[in-house]
Amino acid sequence: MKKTKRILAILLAAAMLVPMTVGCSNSGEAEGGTSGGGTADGGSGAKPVVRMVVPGISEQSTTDPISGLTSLGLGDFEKFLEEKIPDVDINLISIPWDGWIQKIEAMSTANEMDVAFFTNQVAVPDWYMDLTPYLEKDPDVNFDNLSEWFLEPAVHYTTYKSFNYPEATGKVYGLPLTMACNSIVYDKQLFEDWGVEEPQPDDTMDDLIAKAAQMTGTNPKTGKTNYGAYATSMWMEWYAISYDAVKPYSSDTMMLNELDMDEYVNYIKDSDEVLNYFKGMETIVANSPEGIATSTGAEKFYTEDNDIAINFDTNTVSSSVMKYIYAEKTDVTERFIPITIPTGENGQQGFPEFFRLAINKGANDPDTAWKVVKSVVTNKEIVDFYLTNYASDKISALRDTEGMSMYDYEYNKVRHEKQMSSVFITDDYWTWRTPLQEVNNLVVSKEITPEEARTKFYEGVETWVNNTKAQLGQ
Amino acid sequence: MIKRNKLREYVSWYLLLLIPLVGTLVFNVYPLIQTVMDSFENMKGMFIGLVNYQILWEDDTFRQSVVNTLYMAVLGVCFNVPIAFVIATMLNSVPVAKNVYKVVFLLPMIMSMITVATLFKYLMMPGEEGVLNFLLEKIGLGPFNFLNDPATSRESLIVMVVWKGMGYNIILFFAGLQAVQRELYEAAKIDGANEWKQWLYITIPSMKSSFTFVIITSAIAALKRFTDVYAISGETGNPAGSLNTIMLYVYRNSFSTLNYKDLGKASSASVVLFIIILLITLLNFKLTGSDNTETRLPRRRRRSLK
Repeated sequence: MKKTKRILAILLAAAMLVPMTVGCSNSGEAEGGTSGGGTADGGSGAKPVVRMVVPGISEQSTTDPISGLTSLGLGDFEKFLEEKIPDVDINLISIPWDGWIQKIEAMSTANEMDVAFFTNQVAVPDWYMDLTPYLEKDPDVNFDNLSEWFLEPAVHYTTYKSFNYPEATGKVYGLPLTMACNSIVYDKQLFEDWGVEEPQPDDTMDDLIAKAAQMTGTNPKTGKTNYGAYATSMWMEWYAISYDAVKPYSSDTMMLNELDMDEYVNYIKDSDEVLNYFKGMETIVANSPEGIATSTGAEKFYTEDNDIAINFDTNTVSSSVMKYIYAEKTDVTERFIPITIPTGENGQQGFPEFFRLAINKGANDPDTAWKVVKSVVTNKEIVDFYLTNYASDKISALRDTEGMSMYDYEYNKVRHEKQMSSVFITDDYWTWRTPLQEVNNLVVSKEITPEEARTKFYEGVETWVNNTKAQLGQ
Repeated sequence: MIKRNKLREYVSWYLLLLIPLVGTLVFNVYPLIQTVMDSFENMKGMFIGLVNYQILWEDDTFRQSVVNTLYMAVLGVCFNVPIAFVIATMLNSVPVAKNVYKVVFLLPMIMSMITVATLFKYLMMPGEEGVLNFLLEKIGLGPFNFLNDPATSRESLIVMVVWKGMGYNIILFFAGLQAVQRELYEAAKIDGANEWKQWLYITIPSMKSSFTFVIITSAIAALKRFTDVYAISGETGNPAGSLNTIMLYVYRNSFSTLNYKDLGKASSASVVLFIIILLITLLNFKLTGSDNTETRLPRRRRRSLK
């Protein structure tokens, strides 16, 4: 009995330890694979394999229960890619959007991928290769013709710049695949009920908000309670650009201790633009349902019983309105009309988010991975397929969109035109973004006046800059 | 020969213990050590000493999160534990259909927190859309903003948390009540003690170990509050950061896709939370007398027995 117990103990202990050692040896093999080159399947002579991570694509095709729009599954995208890039075996790996950045980081560390995305994460120098050597010598996509391939904002944002990694300034970690272009959506029906002029192309944020404020109360036609606006604190900070409340920053060194405090921090204390921004946000909040602090109150938007005139919650409405447009649900799209975000006097607006395709530092075959990256981002058919099926809220970063089916839709043409000329161009925005998010949490909760908000915003920016300097040892 | 046999037996047991020990080392001890190390580093892994802790100390948002966490923990435990105990006592006294009542009280516990939070968000919606406000209006009260008002959001959240979580404590107390000796009640009855005195002087003292366990586990769970506040307010902790807890602060600084990621700050906040939980657990042990001091003989007496 004792002997049996001992044997059992040894077997169980071994069963625990073996998987751990196997896991360790697997990552060792991946590193060896990098230096040795060749295919992931052991160099059998088959096509080279590239493992590409794509967030937010389900394994199977799905049908959206609200719009009726069918989204293709991962297999469809993989098949399409292999048709367009036939000499590479592309293995797509899907991860959910929830926690995608951490998953990318973990997969990068474990060398479980060759190609993946990033947006504005400052830690990309730890994950991805610098593509500069490829861009210096590639005949198809290189530094000399990047501006011919992509829109100017997209070209600007290919260059890495961050206060946290000043030593990586100027490097290129990825090529742009998509460009964000958020929308505000208004209810045409409510505008007609209240007799308010619909938004015009040259309306400013203040014009839109003033219109919204006219539609809070009892609807003169239906007798129901209406709200002129709706917004949540999420993404609200980007409206600051439409008010010229925040400034674009430019630096060749990205050393935080070189930041001109008067120009980029102290100006906030007395800035009329900042004050006007908070006044605008206060008006939006005052004309919204009570539940905006916890992101409730807009459940009836897009329905027959909608009671919100202008929905400023761009993060939520941008993708949903495009789904209805692509599904050609005219009963919805003829009533709920999207418009682009107004620019400030500086002619800029919005959230400069570019999904860029990059090569993992530990990629098995970086040269083939580069081939995949440049093919995906410059092939109009691939970009069109991806945007139409999997990223309907985004638009293409390509300069030439001729023949792309997504631009058969008039609104996409409008979005593209807008982004060509008005994307907020800056080398950094974290100095003001995080402090502004915290102040906006108080704004949506009606806990702060615009003047107090401006003071708190200034203190937040100053603290952020000083704390980050201390962390960086500057 | 006998010693070698003993040794072999011990080795077997240690080998068997190796399994959970390795798991604990890999999934608990190593992450803890790594977190402590990260708290002294910046984003690039460079050692910066106590800078992150200093930032934390001066951060109003973090201070608010500590206050919120402690307040909601105290409130939650003070309501959850007594209510659960009272219900368990009533359950113990019910002659029939005990199991039916047990299932009824356990049902909220098995629902996911996201489902419960969504339910309560709509129950407590401000204005006429919220079910609670609709009912309160019928009796001439409200409307209230509940979860949308910083003055009432924490209390409203605790109502939800108590509703969902007390089933587990009821079962624990119920199990503890089965261990109370029946003879004590019989003897008390003979001596003329009524039910209230029996409950006060027999039931409650006999349940001391159950109370200790329930209070400590409830306190630890309350201090690590995340899922419920995230489900209600997202990562903002709105309204006005009133639902911001230490865990939500850690999440926002380490996992958020919307926020600036500061792993050093998040790690230092995690270490602070660890210390708070440790101190409160030790305090709980002291207050509930579970450190065995009352069962130990005074030192002089122990020496004389040797």
